[in-house]
Amino acid sequence: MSKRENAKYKIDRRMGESIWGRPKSPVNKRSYGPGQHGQRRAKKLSDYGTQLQAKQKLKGYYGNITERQFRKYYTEASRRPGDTGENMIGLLERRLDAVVYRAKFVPTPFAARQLVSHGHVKVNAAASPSRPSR
Amino acid sequence: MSEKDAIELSSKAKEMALVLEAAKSAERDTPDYVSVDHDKMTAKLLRTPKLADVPYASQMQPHLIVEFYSR
Repeated sequence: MSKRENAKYKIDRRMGESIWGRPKSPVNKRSYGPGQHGQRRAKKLSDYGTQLQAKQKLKGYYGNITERQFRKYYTEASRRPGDTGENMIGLLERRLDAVVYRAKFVPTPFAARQLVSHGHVKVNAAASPSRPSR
Repeated sequence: MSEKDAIELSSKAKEMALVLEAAKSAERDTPDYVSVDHDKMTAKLLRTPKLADVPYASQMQPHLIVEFYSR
C-alpha cells in the first residue's frame, strides 16, 4: 500500500548509529547526519527531541511502517493491561514481516516486507497473506 | 501473527539466493522466541517477546515513545 519514500539507510545516519547492525551501513563511511547541514555541530536535543528520536528510531527499524499504523500500535498497547512500552514491542514483533526477519529468511526488514507482500510466505500452509502487518 | 500460526516460505522463495544466503549468514542470530527450521524453511512464533528478548542492534527506549504519544 505505501511506498517507501526515503533512502533505506538514511535513518542510520540520522541516528548516528547502525540500527540493524549491518556492515554495509553508511554510518561506517559517513558518520554524520544526512543533508546539507548534516556535518554541522549537533545541537543538544530537547526533551521532546529525545522522545521524537526514540520514536523515529523504533518506527524506522521496522522498515516502512507509516506513522498512522505505528500510532495504532501505541493505542492498542496502552489499552492492554501491563506496561505500554513492553506491549508495543510485543505487538510490533508479532508482525508477519518482523517474524520473517527474525527467522533469518531475509537479510533486512525491507526484504522481509517484500517477501510477504509478494505472497512468498505461507501461514498455516494454506493462504499466503500479502499484508506484512498480519 | 499468533503463537499457533506456522509460517512456511513458498516453494519459489525456498530457492531464492537471497533467502538461502540469509539463512546461512552469521550476521544475526535467531532469537529464542522464534523457532526456525532452515532446511524446511518453516518458522513459528513461540511467545510474545519483551523488550529485553528482542535482539535490537541499537538501544530502543519504548518509555520515551510512550511519553511522546501521551503528551
